[in-house]
Amino acid sequence: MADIFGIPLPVLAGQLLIGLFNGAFYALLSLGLAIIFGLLRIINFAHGALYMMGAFAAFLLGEWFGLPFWILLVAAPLIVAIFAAAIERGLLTHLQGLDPLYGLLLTFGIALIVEGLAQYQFGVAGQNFSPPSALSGASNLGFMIMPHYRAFVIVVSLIVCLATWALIERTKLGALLRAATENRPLVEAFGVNVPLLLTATYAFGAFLAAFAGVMAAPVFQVSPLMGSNIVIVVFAVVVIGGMGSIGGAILTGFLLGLIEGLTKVIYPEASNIVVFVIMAIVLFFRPSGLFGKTA
Amino acid sequence: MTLTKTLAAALLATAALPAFAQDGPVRLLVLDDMTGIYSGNGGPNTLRAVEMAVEDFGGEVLGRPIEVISADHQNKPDVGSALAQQLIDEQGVVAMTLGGSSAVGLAAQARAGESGVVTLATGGYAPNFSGDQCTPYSFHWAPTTRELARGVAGAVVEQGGDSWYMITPDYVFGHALAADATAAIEEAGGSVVGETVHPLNTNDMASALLSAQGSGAKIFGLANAGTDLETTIKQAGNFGLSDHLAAMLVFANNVQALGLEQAQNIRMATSFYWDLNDQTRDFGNRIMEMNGGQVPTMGHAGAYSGVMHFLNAVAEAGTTDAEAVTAKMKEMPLSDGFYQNASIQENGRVVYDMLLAEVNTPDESEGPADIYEIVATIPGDSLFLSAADSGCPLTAAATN
Repeated sequence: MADIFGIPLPVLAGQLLIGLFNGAFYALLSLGLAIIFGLLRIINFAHGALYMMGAFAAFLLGEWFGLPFWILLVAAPLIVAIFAAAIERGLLTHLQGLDPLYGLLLTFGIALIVEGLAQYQFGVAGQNFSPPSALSGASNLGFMIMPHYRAFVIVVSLIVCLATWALIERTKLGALLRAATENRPLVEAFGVNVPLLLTATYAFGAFLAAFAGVMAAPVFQVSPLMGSNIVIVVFAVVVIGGMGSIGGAILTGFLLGLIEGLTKVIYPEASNIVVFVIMAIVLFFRPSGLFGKTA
Repeated sequence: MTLTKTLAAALLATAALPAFAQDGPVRLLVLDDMTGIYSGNGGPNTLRAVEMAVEDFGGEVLGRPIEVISADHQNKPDVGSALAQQLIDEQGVVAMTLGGSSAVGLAAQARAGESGVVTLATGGYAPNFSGDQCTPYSFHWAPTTRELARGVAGAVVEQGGDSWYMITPDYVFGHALAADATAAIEEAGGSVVGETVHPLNTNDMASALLSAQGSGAKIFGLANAGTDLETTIKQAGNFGLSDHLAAMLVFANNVQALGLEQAQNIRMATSFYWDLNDQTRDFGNRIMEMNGGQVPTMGHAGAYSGVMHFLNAVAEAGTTDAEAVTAKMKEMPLSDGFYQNASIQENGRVVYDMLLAEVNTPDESEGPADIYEIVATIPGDSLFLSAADSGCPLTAAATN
């Protein structure tokens, strides 16, 4: 049997699929961050908290109303998006034109408040959240047993990422968004309601984060700290991909999931720092990231 | 000025001491994590268990009422140590149960040892309680991580699970647990075929689980704890690998929180299960009636057993003097019926037969509290370290 790095090929293939699964979350989260940064110039440190809110909104809606997973998958992110829209209208909009550092601090504060409240309410232990029964089984792919739910997450997040990319890069609405980033006064002069566009963008980024949170709930821990655990890695992903690059965020997300997956087979002890090592290397050679435009 | 004040306070304190030492109530302290991460396996239910023991004992000893006070050490060694000292000095506490973080328990045990107060480590699982940090008045009711790891490892190998894959968190405690388990596996004739060492707080354990599965091992030994353990169990369920799992550090409250759907078929060692005999069922049913159905852990049972034994010894010795009570405790048999073949070593280590438990499937379970099936008994005398090997300086001096 063929070996790579002393690991049988089938085992490696299984581990790469696991990596792709984790990459799906990185991609969804970094995509939201990239969109928000691209248009609002805000480094959204509340992204992890929004991800956590998505998981908890789904958990609570499921507990209270017994809603099926498929409805939760849309309803919970919508609730979080409304919350995010309120944050944008009430707070972030006042920071326009200021140094991005202010946005970073404000969103970081929001994250701390949201996570603190959740911890106060729910403690640090994980909550129970089962995958939908239609996806609860697992299939033997020959080289690995693939839980259906994990396969579902990979496919759905790929679709969502590509659709988002197409929306921004290939539609009229996307063109407006990109134009507003480049030259806001000009777009406003054409009669476009830019503040509304900005609110919608922030809410959409939050929707993506919460969507990832709901998808994470059946597999990872539903706990108040789930967001802060992942958001640091996701920021590294965005930095590697290049701030504000939509396609770059998606590609880098999946790519780093794969690399992390490989590390877990070759030297698992390093699996939680490999992303940061890559970030350091990329920043050294390409300070604006792999897909970023050199400013 | 400050010195005078301190002196005055010290004088007052010494003057006041005999008053509650002679006629006042006999005060017991429950020093535990009441709200934090360990409050599930200790905490409020330990307090309930101690109050039950006092009630069953009759509420008074040597003609004096028994009073139970509790304090929350918040898992902070400085807080716990100061609380223990303060309550010994100001309330005349004669014995305390210790639970929550072992670092706090050990700090409090040291303070109590210096003040001649009996300690019952009922919810502390570090070997140091009856090892290098033992005191003349310390008792260790809880099994240590060593017995929990060795217990499940040895017993599972004997049941045919002879090839193991270890999933170990990358820090000292995790490596120690894995080493204990590995030693027991090899002594019992099994082998460890591989190990994944993962960083603390790993989000996705799928990779480790797949490696374990790929190794062909029959048993996946989990040396991790807390959220890492919960993650591993949850994800093993997704992959249909639950029945391979043997956990070193999981308590009844963790199993109940995870739910049988996710935790089914996991094996672990425990010193207590509520549904063993009439005495344990009586204890279990009463405490579950009070706490809304939370299954008592081995820590809760140990607190009941320890306090009951302490009170029996006080009655027998006719005094609360720590020296006399300690001697009686080591000499008298345990009367609660919770443990089989129980005895107490000279280092304060309580030895008993351990149990190998397997978590019920939802179909096997007959009610929310029916979480385990006891599949084997592990003789205590071959499992626990002898007093001489424990590293307790008191016994080392005695044997040399």
